[in-house]
Amino acid sequence: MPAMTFTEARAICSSLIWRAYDDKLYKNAQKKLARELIALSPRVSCAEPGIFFIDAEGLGRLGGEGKLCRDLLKLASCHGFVDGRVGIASCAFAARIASAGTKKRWTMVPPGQDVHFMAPLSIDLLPLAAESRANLHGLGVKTIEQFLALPRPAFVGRFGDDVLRAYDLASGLDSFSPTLPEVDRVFQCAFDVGSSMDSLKETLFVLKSMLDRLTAALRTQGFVAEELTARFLNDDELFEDRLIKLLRPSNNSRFLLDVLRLSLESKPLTREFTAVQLVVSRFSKEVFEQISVPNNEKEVRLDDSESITLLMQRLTTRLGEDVLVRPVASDHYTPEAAGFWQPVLTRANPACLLPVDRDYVDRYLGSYAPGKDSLMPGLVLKRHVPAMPVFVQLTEESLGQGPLESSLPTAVTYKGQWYRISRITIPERISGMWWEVPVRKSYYVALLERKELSLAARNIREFGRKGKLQTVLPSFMTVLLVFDHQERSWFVEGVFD
Amino acid sequence: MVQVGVANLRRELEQLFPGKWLSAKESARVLKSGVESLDAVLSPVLIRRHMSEWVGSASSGKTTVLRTICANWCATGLNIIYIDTFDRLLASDWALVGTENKGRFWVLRSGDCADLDGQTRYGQHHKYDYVKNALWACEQLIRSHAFDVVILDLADRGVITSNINARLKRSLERSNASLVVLRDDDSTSSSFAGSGGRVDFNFIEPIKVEQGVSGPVAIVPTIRSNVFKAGLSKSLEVSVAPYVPNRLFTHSPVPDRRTSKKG
Repeated sequence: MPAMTFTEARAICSSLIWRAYDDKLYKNAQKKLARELIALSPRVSCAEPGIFFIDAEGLGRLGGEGKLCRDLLKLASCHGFVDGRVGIASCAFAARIASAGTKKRWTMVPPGQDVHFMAPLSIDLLPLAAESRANLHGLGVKTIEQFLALPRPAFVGRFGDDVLRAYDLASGLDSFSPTLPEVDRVFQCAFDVGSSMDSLKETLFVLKSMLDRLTAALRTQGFVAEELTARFLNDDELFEDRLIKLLRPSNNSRFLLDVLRLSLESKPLTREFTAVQLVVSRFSKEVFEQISVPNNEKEVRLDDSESITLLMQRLTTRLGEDVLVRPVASDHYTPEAAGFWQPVLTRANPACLLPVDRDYVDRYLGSYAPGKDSLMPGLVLKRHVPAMPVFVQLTEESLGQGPLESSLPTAVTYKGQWYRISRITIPERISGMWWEVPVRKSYYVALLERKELSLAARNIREFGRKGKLQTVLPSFMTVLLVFDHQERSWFVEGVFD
Repeated sequence: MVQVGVANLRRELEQLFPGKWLSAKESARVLKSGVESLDAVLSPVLIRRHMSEWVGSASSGKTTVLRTICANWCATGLNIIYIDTFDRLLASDWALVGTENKGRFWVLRSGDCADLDGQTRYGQHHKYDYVKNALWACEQLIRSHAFDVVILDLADRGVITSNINARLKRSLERSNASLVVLRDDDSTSSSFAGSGGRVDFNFIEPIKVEQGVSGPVAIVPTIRSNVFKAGLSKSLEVSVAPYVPNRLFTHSPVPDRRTSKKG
């Protein structure tokens, strides 16, 4: 019952189950039924859930339209839709109205009689906006016949497009018609070698022949490959199913062969094969566009030239995706998050990227750009990945006087040996990111110096390495020394180079 | 032999009296660093179609000098690619290089993290793959004609065999690019065969210390570089201004709408 609450309905029917409206469920059921309807007519189109448009032309020798109606209702009943209705007319709109009748299970409008059929019906059946419908009712237009009594130009300028479109539909002018189902195109090749093959050269020779055939088929039908799948079999056993994404759609056999070669070189097959299948697993329509012509023959633009695409494809195939990056600054305060590597190809930014206000930086913090006779300020850090755990020796006066993290280190182990810290900055203490991975670190810039180690000599003796002190360090070395408060450990996160 | 000697002499004289000894064609092949003091020393090694070797310890200032030069090159429209073999660079250090929509600064990463101490996640075998891949990529990038400068950072695994060297050299001759090979090495061994020149780097005194409110906040030693080419050497000392990174957000902060509890 309309407006009945679930509780009231449950009181009447205790076995009632509440199910939320699931659009996907309806669409799936519609697709399933549409696939069955194809058996009755080659042209089937789906409209909103529960509405199908079927081409009913040329059925004279197949039992006529009456048989089609019976077959359709029978088919729908077999799938559980027992209250189906069929309308047959010259245009889709008239057929839809004919199917909405409740008296008969099917209604057939004679050819060319659509307007006559719809004439006595109410204008409420037309797809009109509420305001337009109210206006028409206000003018005394109740039926489609009254609506069509006025010439079309009378509505132009006075009403919106919805009224004009409704006028055309009421006149039997509906451009909509069921479409032909698309034929699934398949571009694939298979080659049974007959004997085992493991040589790359021979494999490429086979692949070249297959690609020549595939690309010819693609070109003939005006398509370009977007993704290839190479399947290698050994005595009917599939042991390699390799998916190769192309950075740029192509039907150039040389380019595709190059990509396959790189893929096989970077990741060789695990065993010999006896048969190979090549499938264009994704393809699209070929688009032709004017490419820019460089003035200089040697000059190659980095944006869209063919050679750059080929280069990137090579790099991607061999080294993996997103290896080619550009640096992007981010407004974060931890050194790791203050910049991101943005992939050149996808240009995808991480979600946590905050653009830096360069004007603000230049105005209040000074320009970072190099001068005419000066370097950019600051040293370049080269990270240790992962950070290198180290032992440090703290100042003796600070030991026991406060927490461990408040003491300054005086010596540090680096690559297995002790070195004296000649100078060190005050710590830059950074904490945050508590909502993801908490960071609590103290960053020091330490200058390591190659000198006799008085403080560290004791430790060297302990390690029994006194006679082997052969440092590889230069005179000075600057490192980023970090105390991680979360792990209560010291690390060298990188060196300044 | 005599021609080579004359060519070297002309380059030496060009450094003393710029613009008088090299032909226009030769001058066009030299990549100016954009910093006057560096140009006088580095010009002989930064040449298109040539390879130069920048050597120093892991912490010697070579990448700092190179970053400034890259920024200047990008500002003049040159395209640069840096092959970061072991993913050691920090994006924030390089974010201002190549941002003016002129030249591009791209970085080719290994695609997987590897540390420098042989403790790779995937075993000993793969760390050599990084170098192998980097050398392969270097050759491809040179041959693409898309970049004016290719920088190959080999860290302390900078082994370029004569075979690879010959391949790179041949690729360079067919391109218009200059190759800069960065190596972390403290040995004074001579440069590999075919290198257009070698630049050694190390940190020396004086050391600049930037004082903050409660102590030193930045320490920057002076960088010394020695250029070796064709039996000649030149040295240069450059200082770097300390930089205290901005740790404050530069965008307008979200207004704090919290109010104190009344009562």
